[in-house]
Amino acid sequence: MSHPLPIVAEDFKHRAAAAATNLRIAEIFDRSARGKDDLRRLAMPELPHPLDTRELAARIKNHTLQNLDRYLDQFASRVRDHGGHVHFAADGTQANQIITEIAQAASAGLIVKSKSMVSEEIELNHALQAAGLNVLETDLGEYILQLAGEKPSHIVTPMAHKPKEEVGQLFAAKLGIPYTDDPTALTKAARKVLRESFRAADMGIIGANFAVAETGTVVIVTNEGNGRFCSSRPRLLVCLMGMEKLVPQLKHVPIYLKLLAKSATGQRITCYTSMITGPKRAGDFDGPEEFHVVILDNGRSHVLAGEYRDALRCIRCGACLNACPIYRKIGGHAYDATYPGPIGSVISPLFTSLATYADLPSACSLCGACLEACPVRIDLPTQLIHLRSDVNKDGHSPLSWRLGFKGWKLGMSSGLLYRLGATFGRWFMKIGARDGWKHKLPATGGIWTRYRDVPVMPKPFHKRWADLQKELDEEGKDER
Amino acid sequence: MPSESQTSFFSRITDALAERGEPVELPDDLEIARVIDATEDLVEVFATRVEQVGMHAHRAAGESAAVAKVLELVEALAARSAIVPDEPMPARDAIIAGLRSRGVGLLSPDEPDAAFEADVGITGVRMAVAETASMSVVGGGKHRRLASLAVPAHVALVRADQIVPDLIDWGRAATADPPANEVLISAMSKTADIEGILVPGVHGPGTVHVVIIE
Ligand code: SF4
Repeated sequence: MSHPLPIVAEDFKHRAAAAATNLRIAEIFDRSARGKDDLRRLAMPELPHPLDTRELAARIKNHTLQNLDRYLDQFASRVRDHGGHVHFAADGTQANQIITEIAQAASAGLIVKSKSMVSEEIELNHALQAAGLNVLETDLGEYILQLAGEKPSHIVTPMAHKPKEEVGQLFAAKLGIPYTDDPTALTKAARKVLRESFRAADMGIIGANFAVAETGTVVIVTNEGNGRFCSSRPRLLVCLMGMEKLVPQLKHVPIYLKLLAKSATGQRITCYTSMITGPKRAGDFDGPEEFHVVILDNGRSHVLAGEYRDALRCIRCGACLNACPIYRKIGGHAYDATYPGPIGSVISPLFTSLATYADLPSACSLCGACLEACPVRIDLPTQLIHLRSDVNKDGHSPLSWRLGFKGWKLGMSSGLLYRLGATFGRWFMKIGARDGWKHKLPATGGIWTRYRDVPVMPKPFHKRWADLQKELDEEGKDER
Repeated sequence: MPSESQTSFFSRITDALAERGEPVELPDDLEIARVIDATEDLVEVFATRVEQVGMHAHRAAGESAAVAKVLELVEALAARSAIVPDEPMPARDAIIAGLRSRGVGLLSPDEPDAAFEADVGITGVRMAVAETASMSVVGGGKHRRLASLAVPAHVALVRADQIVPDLIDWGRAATADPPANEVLISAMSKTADIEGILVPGVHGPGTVHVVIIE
């Protein structure tokens, strides 16, 4: 990934503040996320045992991850048995090169692509275009973003940030249609372009929601049907998948299909679920003649080794984003990472580097809404706490911050120092306070007061308790 | 290709799993996730849920009623051309004869672009799932994957005995050697990408009729 300069904590705060003050976008985000969160809450109780089902989904993934070498090997052999090609890529650069060369070797003209977060992670389109290849996003949201030159702001609904008026202006400028902000008319206009592209394309690129070890099947879900087009029409098909996408057998897929659709959009199941097992067979009319699977590591083996392995259970449903009060306020772009929201704050630093995303683990109030929402029960709050401590250990937090906490620790470990500190603090806080609130603190404290006020410190509890006792005693005396 | 060798790719994984921890058994209590069981009226559940997602369910008593229903739907859709893939499906010959006699153009399923030009695609299914209103359509042989996709309207014929209760039953019925392509169709093509407003028919059919033969 190309982040030449480490992003320091201050950048995140500025982006977040800017996003939260853009009211139109903040409102669209909040509405979109809350809406999907409500739909999820309504849909989950359809399962007779929602919590047990989520635990089951987590256990199947735990088992698979624990035996990932075995299952991945089985998957690769099955794909080959069916006449498909399997490629392994250590990182994004390698994966991009592999896919570029597949396209070049087959002299692929137009490439149609279905939505895939992994391809965003490795900036695949960028690489293909740099090699002179013509790649077109076909998910409506991704198509619009590609036209606009923007990045997704949500892992399921990529253009959650874009008002319909902007889409209208974009289509008027790029497609030459008369301006309209009617979503139906805009969708029709895109349909026209994309249909012709499906018809003409030589190559399709898809992601994988799941990959089945026993059969070598890749499973993709789309509501629009573009995934079906990409995998049915072009003569060449490439599936790019993270190595953690495996499940052991086809019979395990329904558990995830049920949970994924309910968690993502409140549907019982996504409109279309395609199961693709190798290229087309002898005598088949439709389907790709050539089928490639590119399996990507890009930091995942590192995550597999450590205490964050559970994060690889993620099925990218987006429920934790929709549930997160921070994400709802600041939107996806403020994270400046492929994966935003709670899961993004865990995997972005892990897949890339802690230094690049040192600030993300702190973009969280530890409210627990993400854990409550997650269909595979990833304990994101705990992982975020551990990541914060990793950030400190690796020295990525500001010096003033570390010194501050050192001082705090010292003060907390001695009664005398604590009382001294508290007395000094109380005296200090009174200076310049108005109506019991301080609006500006010096030094590191200023980070806090930039966005909110602090109350002056009240009398210590033991003093108030003593006073209260005295008062009660007096009252008691009076009554007697 | 600049692909990493399988050996070095796998050595990272094996190293990462050096401490696998307590072995986690592969769970087999999949039944926990069951929503619909065989004691329910499957046709009723399926038909209701087909309607709930915006598709249209039609119950026909027997094959000839189904053929009449299909022809009626084709007329209501004002379809002038149709694609009927060459595959086993209920009453295929009768449907084709009916379409011919009504002057509906039958596009040859052998023609690569037929599905892009037809006004309606008429297909059978391999299996249907009551819980999720899903229809499994298997691509293979002369079946055109696009006949249920590139058309503006899709009419699917489902025999009542093809309906299984739950998605779990569909999963269990899967064999260890699946076809090259299978799709579960569980609604019409739709999007809500622009401000969350639902628009049907974004790429695939905006209208899906399901004729259930009892
Ligand atoms: S972490 Fe859980 S809730 Fe978030 S996207 Fe992944 S599966 Fe969904």
